[in-house]
Amino acid sequence: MTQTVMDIKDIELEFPVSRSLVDFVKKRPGRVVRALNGVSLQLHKGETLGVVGESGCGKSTLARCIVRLYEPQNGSIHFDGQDIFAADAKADRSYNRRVQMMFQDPYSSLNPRMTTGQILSEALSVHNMRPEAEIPSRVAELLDLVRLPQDAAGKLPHEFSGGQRQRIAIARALAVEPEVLIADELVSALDVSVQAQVVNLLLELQDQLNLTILFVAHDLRLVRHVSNRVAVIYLGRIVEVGDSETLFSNPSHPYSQALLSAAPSLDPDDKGDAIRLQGELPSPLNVPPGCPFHVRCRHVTELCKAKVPGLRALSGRGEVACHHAEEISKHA
Amino acid sequence: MTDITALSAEATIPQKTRLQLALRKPGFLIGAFIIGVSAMLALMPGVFAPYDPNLIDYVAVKQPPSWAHPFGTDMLGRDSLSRVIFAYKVNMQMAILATVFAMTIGVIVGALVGYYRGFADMIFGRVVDAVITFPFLVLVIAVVAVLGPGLINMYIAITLVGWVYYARLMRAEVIAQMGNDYASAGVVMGYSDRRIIFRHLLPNAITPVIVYWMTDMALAILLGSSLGYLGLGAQPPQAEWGVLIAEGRNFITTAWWLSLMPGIAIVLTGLGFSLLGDGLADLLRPRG
Amino acid sequence: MSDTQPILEVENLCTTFTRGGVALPAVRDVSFNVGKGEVLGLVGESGSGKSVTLRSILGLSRRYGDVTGSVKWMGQDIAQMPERKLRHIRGRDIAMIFQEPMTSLNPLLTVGMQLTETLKAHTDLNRAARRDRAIEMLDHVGIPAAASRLEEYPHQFSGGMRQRVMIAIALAANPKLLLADEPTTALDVTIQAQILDLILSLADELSMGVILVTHDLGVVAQTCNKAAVMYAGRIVEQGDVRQVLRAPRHPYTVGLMRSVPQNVPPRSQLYTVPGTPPSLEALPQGCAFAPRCQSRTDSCMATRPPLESIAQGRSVACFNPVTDAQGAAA
Repeated sequence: MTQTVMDIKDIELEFPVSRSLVDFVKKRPGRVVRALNGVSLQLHKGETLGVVGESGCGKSTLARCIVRLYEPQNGSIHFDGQDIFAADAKADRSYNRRVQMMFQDPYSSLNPRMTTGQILSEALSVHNMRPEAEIPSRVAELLDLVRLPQDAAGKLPHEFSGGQRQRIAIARALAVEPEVLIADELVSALDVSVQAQVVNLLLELQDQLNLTILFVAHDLRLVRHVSNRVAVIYLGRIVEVGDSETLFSNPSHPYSQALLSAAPSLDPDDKGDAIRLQGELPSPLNVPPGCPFHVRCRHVTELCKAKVPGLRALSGRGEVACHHAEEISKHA
Repeated sequence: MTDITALSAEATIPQKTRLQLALRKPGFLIGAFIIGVSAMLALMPGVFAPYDPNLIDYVAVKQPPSWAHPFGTDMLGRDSLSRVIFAYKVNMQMAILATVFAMTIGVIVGALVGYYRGFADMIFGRVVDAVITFPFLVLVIAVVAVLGPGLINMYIAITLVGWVYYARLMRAEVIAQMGNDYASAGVVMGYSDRRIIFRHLLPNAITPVIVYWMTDMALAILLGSSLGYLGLGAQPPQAEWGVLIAEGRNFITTAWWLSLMPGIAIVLTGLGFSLLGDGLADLLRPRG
Repeated sequence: MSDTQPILEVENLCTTFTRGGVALPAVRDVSFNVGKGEVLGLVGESGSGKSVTLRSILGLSRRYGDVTGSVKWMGQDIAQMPERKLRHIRGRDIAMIFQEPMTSLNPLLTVGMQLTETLKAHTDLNRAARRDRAIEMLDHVGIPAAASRLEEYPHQFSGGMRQRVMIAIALAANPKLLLADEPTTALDVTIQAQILDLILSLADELSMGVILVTHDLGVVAQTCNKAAVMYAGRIVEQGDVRQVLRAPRHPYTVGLMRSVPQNVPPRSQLYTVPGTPPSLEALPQGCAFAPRCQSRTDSCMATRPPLESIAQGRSVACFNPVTDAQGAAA
């Protein structure tokens, strides 16, 4: 019984690149970075959906579209059946209350001139979460919730370590009692031992508050650990999406396979069946025609160069965007 | 070195407050002292001036500096020291009035165009281009020429031209601050634009503006006295440093002190504002 | 037996920075050896002193702090060597690559110029020979169409390619030791794998020693022969990479290994080391890890455990090391 809370359909987003003088002289048209090329994704109630991919693949852009920091040029995002970019919905700030985001950089995501207490009470009072008189006690509750000491309320962000700042960011997001949390590389900037603390906290809070989480990260081990389902994204397209354990133990798309085998194992003797990818990630300034992965793919055929593969369900697996998924998984 | 920054990130230094550190800097102390004294002279010149600045004494005309008249007397026998001290009132007033409106307008406009960008920002860009093409003084003189000479008109002229510089600085700083995720977090939290601009971005973006304000006050004194010297600002017999220098100009070979003393006052106050600005830059920088 | 003689011997290296009148002991009593063709992993979290250690070896920390102890390069102490003489060793015998391939190349010079510059400083090759060697180097590190790319500027290269250029420059003068400071941290995993493979194969080919500074235990497991774990400026555990990672003895190493989600049920609570690393100006009197340690005793809080050998090539700085069985269970 899965209930879809967020339905993302075919969103596309391009960023214009400012034209250089040379472009003007040569009368070249303005170029664009194609950050998202038709991403469709459903977020089910209460689940954690992991989104993995390399830098520049569009995973953060996707996260920012969901919280309306960017508006896609095509496609739609529905939350609870309501189009979040519809004219009347945009003025509705309750969406921002119900869907919250946490950012990667713990050093820039908090206003350096506001104390933790001010940051939390601002969130509470703007959304009228509590009557004015109850705000201090709610702030204390929130600090408890993310396991920060009570004297944290009077301190400025620079007095905290990276891990503690991410806790403040989590507390700020939770202050407005959201239903969906978008975690954009929440722990990437933290040390390993601190990462584990924050991940534990997130998982615990999810169970306690029945949160739906979109967990965007490049660390595959972490994504595997926290996610129920995972989407692999490459050059602005989802190439594979499915149940986390199935996908990680048995990836179907050649890119997912390469990505997983590139993650170094902790066992010195497990060199893996190292599938080394040739070449680099193409620039999103010029996405190759056909399957975006074909330039680096071992299984490339003429069909891949000509036609973009759509996501299709594979029996026993999730959905894969590859023309040759059946043959490839048979060999694997 | 990356290590050094990594170290400072890990190890927050508790010890002294920023004010205590700033007070150790001689530059900041000297600047604060000069401006403090200047402010006192400006607020109550009567307490410090030995004579009435407009008291004419035909018996003691163009007297060189002496114990009775430390800065000498002018062509009408008025005490130069008293006139220089009373001029603090006008000149310090210039420093404030010629800048504070320009700063307020500039900060608001700069924050708004920096936050919203788009069409308004494009128009603003053209205005900036137009204004900075001309030397500041030339534009101000042109405006004064239209409005007519006098102190009030001078303030209006300087404000009309000066806000552009503040707005340009503020806009750039706001745009830089918007690269920080706390601004995006404000949007995601559903805060109003007004709250994000004035509660979050402005306090973080205003430091360079305040530092610039200090130097601008020094420039305003210089500009105001230049206009006074040219007869476009304060009008005689008003005691104002530019006017005083202009009065002494005709006697520069026989009564050099008449122009020199107000000149020193201008340099000293300018220096005070600059030193204070440098110190404030350290004091106001956010930590962490 | 000259082959087993270490090429680099670091002994009791200490680096202290001073900030606002407060001494920050960034590196304390660090000792290790690197042999020919050996890859040593220096692991630790931010602020553990691993990068400062690396920089102190080449005399790059001198300007910012006080460095004591001895660094013997081929038997010669370079720790106190004057800058002028050190310059001959830097780049020629010992090369270094940094984390940020973006900022360690000069954006105003072509890649070819930066490569030949190093060759000019450290070899006797003439102009034409330098160019040939530069092409050879780029080719060697896997940059396609090397000859034509010599004339290009750093911004025309991607992050991974820039790191390859950095490696080519570092290796241009055939160094015997490569210091790599988080060389793949800024890169994506698929590119990281390529670069690590490259460093390893080059080390093997040129029988070059490598010190790899990283915070990623997986990278250590996959590339290093030996590993040294640092915490709050000190080495807390050292030894063969298999022993250190499979049977860690120091509680901190155990904690690090177990914090990484591997072979644990999905969505279960991860093992965590409570608390955060101490700040350098307020280090605990005894063992720096004691306040976070579950097996601490009173003596841990009072005195600092020295780094002591527990087996051939294996040492731990702990009064109550985790037993093999407990460590392996991690």
